[in-house]
Amino acid sequence: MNGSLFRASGALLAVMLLLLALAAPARAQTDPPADGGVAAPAATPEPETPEAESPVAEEEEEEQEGVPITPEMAAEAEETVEYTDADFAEVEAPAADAGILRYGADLEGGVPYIYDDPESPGALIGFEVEIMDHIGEKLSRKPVFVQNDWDKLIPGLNRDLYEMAIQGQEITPEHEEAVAFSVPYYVTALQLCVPQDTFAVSSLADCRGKTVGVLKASLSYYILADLGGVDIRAYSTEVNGFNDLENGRLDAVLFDGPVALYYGGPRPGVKFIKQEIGRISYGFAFPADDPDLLARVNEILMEMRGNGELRRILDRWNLWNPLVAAEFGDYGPPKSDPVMYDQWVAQQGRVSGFSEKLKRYIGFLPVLGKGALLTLEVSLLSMLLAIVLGFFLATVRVYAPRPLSLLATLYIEIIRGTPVLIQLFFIFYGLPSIGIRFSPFWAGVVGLGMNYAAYEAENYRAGFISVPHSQMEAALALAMSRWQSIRHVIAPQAFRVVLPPVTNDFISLLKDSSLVSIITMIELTKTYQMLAITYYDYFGTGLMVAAIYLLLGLPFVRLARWTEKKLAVAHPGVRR
Amino acid sequence: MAVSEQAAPLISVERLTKSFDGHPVLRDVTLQIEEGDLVSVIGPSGCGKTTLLRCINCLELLDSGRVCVAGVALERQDRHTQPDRLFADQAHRLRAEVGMVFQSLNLFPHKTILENIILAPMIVKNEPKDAAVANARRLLAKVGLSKHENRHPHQLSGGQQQRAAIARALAMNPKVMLYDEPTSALDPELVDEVLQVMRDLDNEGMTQVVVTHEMRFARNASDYIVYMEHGEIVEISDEDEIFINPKDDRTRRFLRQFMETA
Repeated sequence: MNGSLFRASGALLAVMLLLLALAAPARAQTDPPADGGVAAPAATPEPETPEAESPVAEEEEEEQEGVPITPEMAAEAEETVEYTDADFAEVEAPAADAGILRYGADLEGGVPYIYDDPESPGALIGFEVEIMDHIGEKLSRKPVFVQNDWDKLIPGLNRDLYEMAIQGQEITPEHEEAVAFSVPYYVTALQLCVPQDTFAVSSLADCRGKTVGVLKASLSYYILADLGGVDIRAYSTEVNGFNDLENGRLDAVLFDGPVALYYGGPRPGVKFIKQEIGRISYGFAFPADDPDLLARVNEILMEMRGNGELRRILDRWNLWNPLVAAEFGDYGPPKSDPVMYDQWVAQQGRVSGFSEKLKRYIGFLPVLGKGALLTLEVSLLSMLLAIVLGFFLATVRVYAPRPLSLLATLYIEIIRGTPVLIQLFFIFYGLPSIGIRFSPFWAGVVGLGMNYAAYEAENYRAGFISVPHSQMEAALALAMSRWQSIRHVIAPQAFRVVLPPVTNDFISLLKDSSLVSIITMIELTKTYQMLAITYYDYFGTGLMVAAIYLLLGLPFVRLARWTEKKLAVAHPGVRR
Repeated sequence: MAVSEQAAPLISVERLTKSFDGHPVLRDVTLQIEEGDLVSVIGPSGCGKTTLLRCINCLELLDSGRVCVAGVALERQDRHTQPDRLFADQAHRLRAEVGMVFQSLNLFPHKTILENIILAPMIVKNEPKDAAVANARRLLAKVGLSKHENRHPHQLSGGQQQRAAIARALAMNPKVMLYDEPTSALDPELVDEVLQVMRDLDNEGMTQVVVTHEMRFARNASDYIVYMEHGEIVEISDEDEIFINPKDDRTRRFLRQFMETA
């Protein structure tokens, strides 16, 4: 059984390495914007190749950069530029690509704003997606989705990852200090939800002395804090809040209207309290220094409000309410049936049979595969960096003169003494303020690589020290230089000692690579979270993801064991 | 540089001092060794004989004094004003003239015997592999290990390992061979095969300096013997004379003790 598992994982690895190899050249080239492609053939000095070349390049691009969750217009996927692969220039100069309009949002818990269509994984739907499509059409720019954690959407905006941030950004005076907001496109209130069979909480005031769930950094938090005496639990995903409400850990939850409607509505165990709490206006967020785009979007939004287009969208999603009616001055009859809401409820209510579930899981495979590929890419490249840099650091620490070796020690201690999470944030969001900008992919690789280099350096140091000093003297006595001695005599012997801990670290790096999701990368763990939340299935999806992590790591464990055995031939037992 | 009246000695050590942590190990040692000589250095433990050897090929950098081997010289006035790194280059050049065999068996365990021998010629002298291998085989034949070229060190006996170590050092074509107690880690029955190789080299005219406790070898094979005590050379003497009629009391005491225990 073990053997067949190994073979299977070996095949998987081979496929992934192949994909990686294919992806590499595409990554290196800067993909031209869709419009630029038209002008390119005329300007290119070699007239015979461009036609033949560009489709290939585009195809390749599509293969490797298909967003784990493809932007909304899946049919036109070849035009989309994926942010994870987008190299630095593209990310930093979005305005130059006049053909596309990048916007930031978080697919995790994005219902009904923007989320992965359960019917066809890979396509995005949501009421804000429909609004963005309209805006894009009017601007003649293709909206392109960029993933970022919800609470980092505004920092990402200031980091120029995208031109606007969407997804229920509340227009508040505090927020307006950091960014500019469009006119409101939706108005809602907070909704208090309680378990169906309880009567302990029937208004906001009853929350005193109770345990209430909210979303992190949301208006509800402050309202409850003002109320006083409430045991507030802050969640990062709505689903977990509702789960805890149903299994008795919470007395109530207080969420934005749409969130409560979509996550609480289909649940039979959840009851809505009829009380309007607070008033929330949603606006799209823009960097403070981009008044032109903001003005154009405002024009379009006002037009959509005026001609009923926005109303139609909100009706489709069952989101129309008296607050919006008052804001828009529109008291007419609905312009559409709540088809999208009904579809969502139908999906939630469905009890899947085994075969249907299996079919769904098979449908997950491409999405999970893309996440896994990214995980593997990030892990392999970080490990490569960690091994090379770690070797260098260890060599300097052990063999270089004192000031240099102190520097290496300092690096190792600082990196080991601070959380890798902070390091990633620092590299991605912090370094741009001194002019060093990495794309999310390379920020992840550099961050993890530099972090693990510190640990690898210590591994190598232990390896170097385990080689008797007489080996170094023997090499020096043969007139080898210090570096030659390290390279040809010490390092190969240290390698064997170091192999097991290095393999161990790689497995651990494979798992730590999930941290890059915080800098907008959709790798395996992020894919899991998004799928699990959208389908409300942590169990089956979780098993799949766990299996994939195991399969990714197994070949390396085996490879290391094989190498160890091979080396052991020359070194029976431990050196005396 | 002063031109001496006779041919310059191959190894010349002048007023060499060396201390570790303020503790003097060599005091003002001066020694000349002519080409082709086989010299044994004896003395009680801690007398500085090993350090003297290590200073000759610069594994230890002398504090002050001068070492010259085959015309390559390293001279230092004062270790406080002249940091070690100033001498890294000279030390390296000097080492290229000197082969050394250690007390500990320190062939490279991850390489075969043949690979052990060709490594340094290939990476230090850029010898092509064919030439290096041919030379290595010639040397292995000389030390009687032709059959073992593809073995790893741990597959050989201690005596075989030391013979291979001699071949490895010879592959760099040194003008001088230094041995630091080459047989003291060996079982008694393996000692002779190593000493025999050194006798053969002596017959070919190799200049060799041996720090040893093998009094029989010192007496029989050496051209002369250097007796050291407390970091100083007490007596340099003809091999028989020092055993039969030591000039210095300290030498007599040492030899008497040694003969009693042996």
